[in-house]
Amino acid sequence: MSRAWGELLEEFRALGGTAENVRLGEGALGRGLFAIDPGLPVRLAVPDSLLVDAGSVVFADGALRLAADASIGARERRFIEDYHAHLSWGGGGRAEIARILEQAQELPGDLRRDLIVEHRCGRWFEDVSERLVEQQFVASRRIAWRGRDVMMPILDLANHGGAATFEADGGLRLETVTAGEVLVRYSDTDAYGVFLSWGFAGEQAQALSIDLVGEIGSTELAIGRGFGDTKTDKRPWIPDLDVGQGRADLDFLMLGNRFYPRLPRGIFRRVMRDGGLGGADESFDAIQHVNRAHFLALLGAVETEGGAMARTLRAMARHQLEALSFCVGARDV
Amino acid sequence: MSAWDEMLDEFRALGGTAENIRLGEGALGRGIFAIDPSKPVAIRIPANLLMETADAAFENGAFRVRAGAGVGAREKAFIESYEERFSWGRGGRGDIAQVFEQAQALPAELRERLRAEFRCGDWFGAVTPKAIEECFLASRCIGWRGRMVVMPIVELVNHGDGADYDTANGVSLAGTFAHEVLVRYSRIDSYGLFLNWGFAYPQPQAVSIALGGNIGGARLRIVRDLSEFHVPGRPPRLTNVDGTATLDFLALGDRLHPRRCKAVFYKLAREAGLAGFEEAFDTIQHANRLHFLKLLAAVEGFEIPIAHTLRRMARHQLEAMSFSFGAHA
Repeated sequence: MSRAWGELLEEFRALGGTAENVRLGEGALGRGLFAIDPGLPVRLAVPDSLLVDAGSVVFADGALRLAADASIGARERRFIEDYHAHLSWGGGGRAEIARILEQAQELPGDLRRDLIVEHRCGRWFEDVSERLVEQQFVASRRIAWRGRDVMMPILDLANHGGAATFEADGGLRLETVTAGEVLVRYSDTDAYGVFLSWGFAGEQAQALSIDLVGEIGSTELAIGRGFGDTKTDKRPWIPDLDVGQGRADLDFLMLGNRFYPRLPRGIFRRVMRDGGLGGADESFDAIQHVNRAHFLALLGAVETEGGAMARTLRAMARHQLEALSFCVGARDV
Repeated sequence: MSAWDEMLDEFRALGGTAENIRLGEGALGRGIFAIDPSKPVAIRIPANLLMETADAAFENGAFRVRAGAGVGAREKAFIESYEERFSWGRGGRGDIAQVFEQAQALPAELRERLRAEFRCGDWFGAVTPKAIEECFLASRCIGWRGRMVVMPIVELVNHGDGADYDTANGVSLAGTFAHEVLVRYSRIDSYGLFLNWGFAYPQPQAVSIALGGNIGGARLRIVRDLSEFHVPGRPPRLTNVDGTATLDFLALGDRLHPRRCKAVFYKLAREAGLAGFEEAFDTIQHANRLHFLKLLAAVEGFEIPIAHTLRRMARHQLEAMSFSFGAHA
């Protein structure tokens, strides 16, 4: 592994990548990236030429390949396929996804169906197939970058956590100073979104609403989860409101924020006011209630189940409910 | 004649009513069932059989009526025999001891947190005969004419969405029940039910835990004194205690009246001249939600009955608490 790491890193740099003060190691979260010298910054950058469209990924004979028509140079193609063979897909990435799917399979069939349909917990609970493992792997490794969904070699080895984020200027970069493991906040999504994308339970600062449709006054209000799982663009927490004939659509809605607990209601009031919709306060309360009820019902569904997946689901629901709870008062936005 | 029928004969002879009931086993364990589900059930405990809990004594493991208690000799004999054959001596003590034993299966450090930090009650303290006796009495009594009294027979009825106690003439309950006879032990919340009875059940309302904080520039304290919570429509009382605005209780969520909780708090705070009450209500709800979410986290990873019970209780409490949206006038 260390030889593959060293050789691949050398080729990565030769192709324009940056990898300073970083090593592969094992930590509390499993395999990850670590600072060689904790006193110095870790710098990682993937150049444009190595950010290949996620849609170009194909699997052949158990190996991750890039489609023949993928828009990428020959040397870059070889690097990415080697990287996946030795460090990512073939170097533990496939096994990680398969393990999550296997944990899900330990739950009773009826419950798995409920988790997909009623509790909307994603594809982890489908019947396992090699195709599903591949799709979930790609879904968990892609990132939205300049309007495209791309795979991010090397960076995808960093585990989720901490405050550092990917920067989208000049390829895709990560720079951080850490005493131990290099952690990166995969996304500004919520604990529910983290589970849907990566299959683990992680605390997030904010909670967004689930997809739902209700009413605000006499207008139908639909709320999406269009925030994106892995957006690298910095954006304010203000959603886009599209008001049409008797219907209003929000692309997403933040309901709780550990750092800014007065913000969620303040944003909703402002967006509704700008859209000419009244009754914002009670609607906001009702949206919060529906969200809390959703995750409490999920807790109820897995309450007495043993096993790793049940514990993950309970932790995810708890994190989501905690973040949801951080909505106190309202500030002018 | 069965022991049950013999006991009921004596009960009736002492002025009690017991119509169309039998002892049986159901989903909730031992309970009272209608003999003929198409006919009404009626149970009434007359005043002479409502013994004060303070008059109960436990001697050599047996339930006794204390000498000098205000209970007639025949009633005393009935109560002691009843307790021995149907309650304390026949499952009642065991039910309580079982909750204690389940709690003991948790690590000592967690039990201490459950008792001190999460205020989950005496179940997580030391298991002693006295603790079991006290919990048994607390779970079998009812407030009646300003006294806490033990209520034979009625105490065998399990808790659920069924009848309410009627305390106008003795203690009675009546109704038609397709299966098991159920009675709402209390209007208290799921947390309160667990504290008193050691089980988890969804309740319509959630009441705040005891806590203190600020509202605007004033101190606010919520006591969680539920001694008058059973009175329907009784709003919380806001008083000034040594400069601290003190609420005896505060409902935070109500499945049947979700616009009421905020409205009640707003009204009381407005009348008391307290500012910032809207944010204060949110903060109180938030503190309560975090309390029960942290409890859920504390028992995560334990796959034993008491952990399941605590999870259910916390979830029911959070569910009921969530029923608060808008504020009616």
